[in-house]
Amino acid sequence: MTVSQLALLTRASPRTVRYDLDDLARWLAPRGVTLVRRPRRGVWLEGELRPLGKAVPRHEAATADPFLPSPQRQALTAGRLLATGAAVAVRDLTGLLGVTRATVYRELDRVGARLKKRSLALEHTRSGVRISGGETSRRWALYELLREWVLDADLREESSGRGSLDAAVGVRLLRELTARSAGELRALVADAAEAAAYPLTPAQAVGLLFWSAISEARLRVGCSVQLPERAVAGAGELAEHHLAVEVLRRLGFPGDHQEAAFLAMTARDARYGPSELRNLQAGRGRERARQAALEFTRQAGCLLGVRLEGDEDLIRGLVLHLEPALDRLELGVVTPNPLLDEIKAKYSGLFAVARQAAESLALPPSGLAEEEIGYLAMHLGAALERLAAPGGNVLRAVLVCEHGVGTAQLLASMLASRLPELLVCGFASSHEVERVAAECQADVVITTRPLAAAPLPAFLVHPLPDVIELVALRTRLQSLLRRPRTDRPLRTDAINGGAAPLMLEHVLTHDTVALDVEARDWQEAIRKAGELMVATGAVRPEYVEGMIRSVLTIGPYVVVGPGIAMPHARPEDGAVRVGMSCVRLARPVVFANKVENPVDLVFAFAAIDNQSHLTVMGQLAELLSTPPLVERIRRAKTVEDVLEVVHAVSAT
Amino acid sequence: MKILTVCGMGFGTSLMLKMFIQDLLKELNIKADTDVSDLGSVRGSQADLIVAPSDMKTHLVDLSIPVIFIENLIDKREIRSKVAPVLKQLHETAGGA
Repeated sequence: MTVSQLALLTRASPRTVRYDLDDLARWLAPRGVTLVRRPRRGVWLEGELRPLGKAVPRHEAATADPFLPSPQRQALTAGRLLATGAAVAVRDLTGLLGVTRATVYRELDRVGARLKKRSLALEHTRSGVRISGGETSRRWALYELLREWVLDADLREESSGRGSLDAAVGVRLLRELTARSAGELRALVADAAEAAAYPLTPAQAVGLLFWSAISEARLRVGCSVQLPERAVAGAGELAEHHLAVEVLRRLGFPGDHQEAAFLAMTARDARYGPSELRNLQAGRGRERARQAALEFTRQAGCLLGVRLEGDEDLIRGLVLHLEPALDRLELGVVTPNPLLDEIKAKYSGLFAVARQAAESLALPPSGLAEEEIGYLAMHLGAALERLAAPGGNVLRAVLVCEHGVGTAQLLASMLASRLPELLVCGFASSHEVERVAAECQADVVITTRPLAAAPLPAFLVHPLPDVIELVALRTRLQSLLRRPRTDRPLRTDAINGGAAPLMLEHVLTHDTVALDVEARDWQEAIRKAGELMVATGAVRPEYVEGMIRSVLTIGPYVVVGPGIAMPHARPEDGAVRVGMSCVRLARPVVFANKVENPVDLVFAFAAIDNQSHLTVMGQLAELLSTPPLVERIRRAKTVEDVLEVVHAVSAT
Repeated sequence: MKILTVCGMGFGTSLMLKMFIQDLLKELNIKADTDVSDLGSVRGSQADLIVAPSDMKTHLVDLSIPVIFIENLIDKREIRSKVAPVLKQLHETAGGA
């Protein structure tokens, strides 16, 4: 290669490259390799090359390092310039970075361009280079620099700088600002928080660590912030104000109101970790996913004859899945679903419903792939399962998964389907667990990496657990459930086997037909009919009262024909599924004030919208308007006799 | 032509009525839109004909639209005898549209 090619490759000046080649030659020589240089031909290596891993030297942090790539050089340059008060001589920068003046100037241009976006200017003066601009802008620039380059690893250990190049930059940036180590800063912040009785979130602990270093650096060179009166007064009201005061005292700069105000505001700002910011940015995608989730839920509910819209957990689960799924759709990417075949086999009905509901979404022609539909079906299954066991036996879980958003989604979907008693109510990274758990009122933590400390019972799982692991997890979770839960398979009878419409024989069954029922008045008659629907889970208990209320408010029009009443209430009064019951009273009762038409047949029913019960209603209408059939019901000796009539009507 | 069936909530008995009327329309070979409604939405509906349970007589007064009251909501004969003539009449006035 020629020197100019190398210069392009390393983004340094040719002279820097030559210095580097000198160093390289010196280093290689004792290792049996010669660097050969020929004018107009270039540079190459001769000799026995050992494996590359051994040939590349480990980076030692403390010394000026000629192997730093350009972005790192820029970061250090910016850090030095932003931290100091006076101008920095170019000579110092060449020493800092170990490169030629030419390279330094080039980096300065780039640094200047970036800083311009933050309202800061780079100036060349006789004594050197300096940055001018507002103090707060300057500090924010430093903060962003630290956020970008300082890794968690740098903060945890007393970093010796061994390891990747980036680790060194983070540590060196901090050192530009303060003589204190990361550990000392961390302790200082924690101490201040305790003194102020302020509950620091982990994200804040890190943020405040950075801001403390920045404040110290700037205050040491005599540069403090100037805030408008209003801001200072406002910041004085913040809960973080006391915390800020304590931090400043420990840094050695007590009593500065402006500084305390600024620190309080930035501390408040640091409450939000990166995932929330990501969420805030992802607003648009989230909205689109939410609309899709709502529509999907509506369609699926209609097909199943079950009222699903009220299930916020289902919506949330679907949104969590649909958001990346819709992105993937646009990009043409499909994530594999290892459970797809199983779902199609065991839950064919659910799958068909999910597919049909998904088709109703306004999506690009290719639509959602089967793998995605499989996931949606799993969420539906969990929702149905929750409906089957209302109000209890649900553990809320925070999911800690740092393998990437896609894997987290997959894991959440798997858990949603396999462990319906588990409800993933939030996602967190390992340093936000406590906060997210509190926010979503979690009972347990499910994590893919061991956590140093967890505020709740924590369960470690593989990011892609197999069936055995999930069963094991379920067993472990049992001990936490308040009531013992018998292992019930998914109520596939609640799903009528596919996307075919609900028929009369699905709602009028052995469990919902009763003969010779005693009732003293119409209220009791309605209650008895309603109880049958409650027992089968079609409605909640309050729906029955709703039925009685509707007769009282709207009148006895529920009496539809001679001796026949059809009481019902609104879906919102407590309907869960399309349902019906048939009660033949032992003695006719008078409904409201319809004295002339005492009732002996009560058909109570529940609808969830104005559509999904169309076929059921039509068949009932057919039945009731055919006098011989009604007669058969009146004369029936057993429930089976009634069901025969029902089947006859359903078959048409 | 638009026909509205009414009941207390708009999805129960009115739905049955609507179905009966749809059967009737098919029988008479008349095309019309049918819809359900609860008491509250009747007045703004712009229907040509309203069919309601006779219990609602007191609630549905002073309407500019013809209303047919049905005693026995499951009696197809009653519905036919009361509704069919009105349907045919409206159909002719509308020019057989």
